[in-house]
Amino acid sequence: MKVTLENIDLKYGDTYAVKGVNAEIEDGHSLVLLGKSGCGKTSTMRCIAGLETPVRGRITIGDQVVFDSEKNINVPSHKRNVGMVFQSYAVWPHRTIFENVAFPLQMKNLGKKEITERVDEALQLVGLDGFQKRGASLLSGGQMQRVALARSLVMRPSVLLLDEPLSNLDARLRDRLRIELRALQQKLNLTCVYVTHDQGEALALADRIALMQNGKLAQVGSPGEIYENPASASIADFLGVTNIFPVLTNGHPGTYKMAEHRLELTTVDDTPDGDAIKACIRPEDVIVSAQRPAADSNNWAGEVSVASYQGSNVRYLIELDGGPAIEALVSRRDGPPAGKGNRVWVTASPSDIQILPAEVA
Amino acid sequence: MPTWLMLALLAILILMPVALILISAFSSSTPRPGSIGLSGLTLENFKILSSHQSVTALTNSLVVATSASVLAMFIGGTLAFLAARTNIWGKAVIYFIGIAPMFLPSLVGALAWSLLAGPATGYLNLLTRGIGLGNLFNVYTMPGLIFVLALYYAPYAFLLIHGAMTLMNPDLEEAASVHGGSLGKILSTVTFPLVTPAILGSGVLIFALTMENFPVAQMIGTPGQIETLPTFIYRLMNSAPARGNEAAAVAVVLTVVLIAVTAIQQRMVMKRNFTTVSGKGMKPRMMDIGKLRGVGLSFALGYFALAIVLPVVALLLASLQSSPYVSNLGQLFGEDALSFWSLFQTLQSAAFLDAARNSVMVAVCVAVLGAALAFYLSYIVYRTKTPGRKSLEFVAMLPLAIPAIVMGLGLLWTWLVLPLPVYGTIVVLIIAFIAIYLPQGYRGMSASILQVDKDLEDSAVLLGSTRARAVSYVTLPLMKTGVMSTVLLLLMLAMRELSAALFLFTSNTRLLAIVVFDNYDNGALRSAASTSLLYILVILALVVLAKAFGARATNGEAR
Ligand SMILES: Nc1ncnc2c1ncn2[C@@H]1O[C@H](COP(=O)(O)OP(=O)(O)OP(=O)(O)O)[C@@H](O)[C@H]1O
Ligand SMILES: [Mg+2]
Repeated sequence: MKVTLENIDLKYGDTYAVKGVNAEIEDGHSLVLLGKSGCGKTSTMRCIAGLETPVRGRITIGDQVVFDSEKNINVPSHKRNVGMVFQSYAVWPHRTIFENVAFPLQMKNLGKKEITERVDEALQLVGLDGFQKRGASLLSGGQMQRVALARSLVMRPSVLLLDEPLSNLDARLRDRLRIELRALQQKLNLTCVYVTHDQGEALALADRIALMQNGKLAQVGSPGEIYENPASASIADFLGVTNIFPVLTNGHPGTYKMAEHRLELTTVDDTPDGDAIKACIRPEDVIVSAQRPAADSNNWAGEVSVASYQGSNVRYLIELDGGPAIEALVSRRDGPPAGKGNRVWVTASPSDIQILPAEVA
Repeated sequence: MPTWLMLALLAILILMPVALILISAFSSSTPRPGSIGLSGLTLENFKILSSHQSVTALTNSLVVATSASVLAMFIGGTLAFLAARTNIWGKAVIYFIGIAPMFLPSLVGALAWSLLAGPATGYLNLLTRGIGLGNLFNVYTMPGLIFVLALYYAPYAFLLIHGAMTLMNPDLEEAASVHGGSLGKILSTVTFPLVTPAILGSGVLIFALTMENFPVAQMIGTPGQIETLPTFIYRLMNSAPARGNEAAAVAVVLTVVLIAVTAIQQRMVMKRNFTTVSGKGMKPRMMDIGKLRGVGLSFALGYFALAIVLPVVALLLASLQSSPYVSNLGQLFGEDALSFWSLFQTLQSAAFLDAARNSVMVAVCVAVLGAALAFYLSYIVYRTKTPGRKSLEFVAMLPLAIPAIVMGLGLLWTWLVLPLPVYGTIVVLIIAFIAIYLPQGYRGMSASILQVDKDLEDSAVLLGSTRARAVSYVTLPLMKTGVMSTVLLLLMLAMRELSAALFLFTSNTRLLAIVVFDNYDNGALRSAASTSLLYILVILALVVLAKAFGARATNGEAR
């Protein structure tokens, strides 16, 4: 069901954990809340679940207003029909898997037969068929995550909240479950809110991404939009853009000079408002060559200070002459790798350099 | 139950007794039905503080508490180190020796030691006289008082220090060893500094406990004319006419000292949480102490003999001997010198049976109701955002700083003033014990509620259950061990308590502790001894029963 958050403010004591959050999640879509640790992701989610009471704002699930500070509406958690997979899974260790998953159905006073059927169905869906009688304290991390998921799915929630469900798992399991989760969400046409601080996970799971900073939504958009056009240098930084240099305008449109060095660079971007502006270059857009390239701008000479082999790629750190160090990610196919101490030339196409404000206003 | 109702409950349980003590200290009359004695405000009562008697009592209290806590710390700390960190034989036995004296009320210990080392007729003196050494022992002295207190408060030091030593992260010591530290260096630079807060914390705690101890001071100190603040308060209240206002003034002083000391202790406990407790069930290293193992074991067995074996033997002899006076040990081995007559007599007497019934009833009610109240309080404080929850916590912890005998006095006045027909019934004892042991109950419950992740309960609510149902389906079952341990702790504490009941019992509501105390006071030693023995048996039976329900005695940190 469609979920809307309007002007949500949440306070712990005197400090705001969430401030002025507006978001809309279409029916059957998934919204990923992405941001650094402590930026308010879990808090936002807990507001939707009714586990925290915002000081201001309105939350609507489907046609039902579940929270409205002005009209004094606050539907208690157990009547919101919201499913939630906690960061810690919160699988009850003193109950069997069956008892865990059957719980929401027992709360709805369904008959024994229906409960058994629906639990079996849910366990099948998450790949835990046949585990019904096992005690929940004997499960691995991946299995717990599945039990928690089944327990939420079995109640057919209006919206499913997932709080960093994959963060406790090892890298390979995480990759696999990520795909399974996305497939499940699309198959069941679930409305989902998914919290993570892993950008790869966010890009893979989202219909839309909401980037949080300091309790506010800094940018909302499709994964493509956010990746291609981050709204600020700090968002770009969070999304893995490692080359971020403070720059000053140089008088001519499209040309800038690095704030702490004498190097110049050329872009096709317009200059954003504000004093603190930064040039952002993705490492994979940095081109490294042994000879001086033909291009007439953004040509810098330097020396390789670190070369780290990463399988299909090589990651270089290059000290530019009279400039900062720049990181480059070069495909192995682009020729034999340079070694530490080699002199190289570095360039970047003007269209690959983004000039962004340091922070969103 | 809304929070304000809880606050009102705590106000009656705790704040009102405290307030009445304060008022009485500044008034010329004590509270009685229909009047709380606010008329005639005066500072007269505090004059008593400059009297020779109160200065002596205060000095005695400070000397006794300081020495007893140092000695208790030495005993408890050594045993804890042996049990937790060395390769001594029979660790389980050492651990048992460390905590066993907790099951012996200090009242009974004091009685036993006056039987053992009373100046003329004590069994130990009979023994030394028998072998021609004359009377060597006299427990009715300052050192005797300190010794008996230290014996029965060492287990508190043992528990706290043992806890800190087992929770210590072994990596810290191993790091020191990897970097070249010798065993002695590791002990002095890593191990002891890490447990210092725990050691200091338990030292302060024992200081407070021994300072407010009434039974030992009364039974050992009074015959030797050593008065402490608690016995002074008792004497003032028992003089005719009762000097309640002056007693209140002395109580205020004692309380102020204890509040200061408790405040220090709380800060040390807080500090301890940051420094040592980082263990995740890791096994600390055991140190090879070589030949010292024999010394350590003898030390532990010696303590066991002094705290448990000799006292129990003395109680047995005293209750079995057929003539009330024994002037040499040989008399005990004569024909018909020992008989079970007195024990059976006691076992069948109405006085004992009534008191046993009352004690068990009070203890069970206190344990169950007190634990329920403590759970509810901890839940409000740690699981809700109710405004004012921190003040609830403060009030709940307040009795920690108030001596039981003072609290008893305040409760007496409270229930005289309140228009409820509670005074003189067993209910007032239950109320009083719940109030004075609320801090212990609250602490046990909140520790175990904090161990249950809140998400576990929240998820049940999201899945459609009400909050109450979630608590009973998820939170309480997961807290089972903690809850049962708190119940056991309260049961034990309530079974042992004497001081708070002194002013509150009537002839119909006597407890086992009261019977022992009265018998002793009236010189009926044989009957005191046989009641004590049966008293210990009742306590043991309750512990075994509670353990069968899943409680863990080791969680029972008394304060
Ligand atoms: N119960 C609480 N009481 C007080 N402050 C809190 C509480 N819960 C969270 N906070 C604070 O609110 C802010 C937001 O916390 P939140 O848990 O929403 O962060 P998060 O984005 O989920 O972080 P993470 O990625 O680490 O889980 C943090 O600064 C945190 O310290
Ligand atoms: Mg979080």
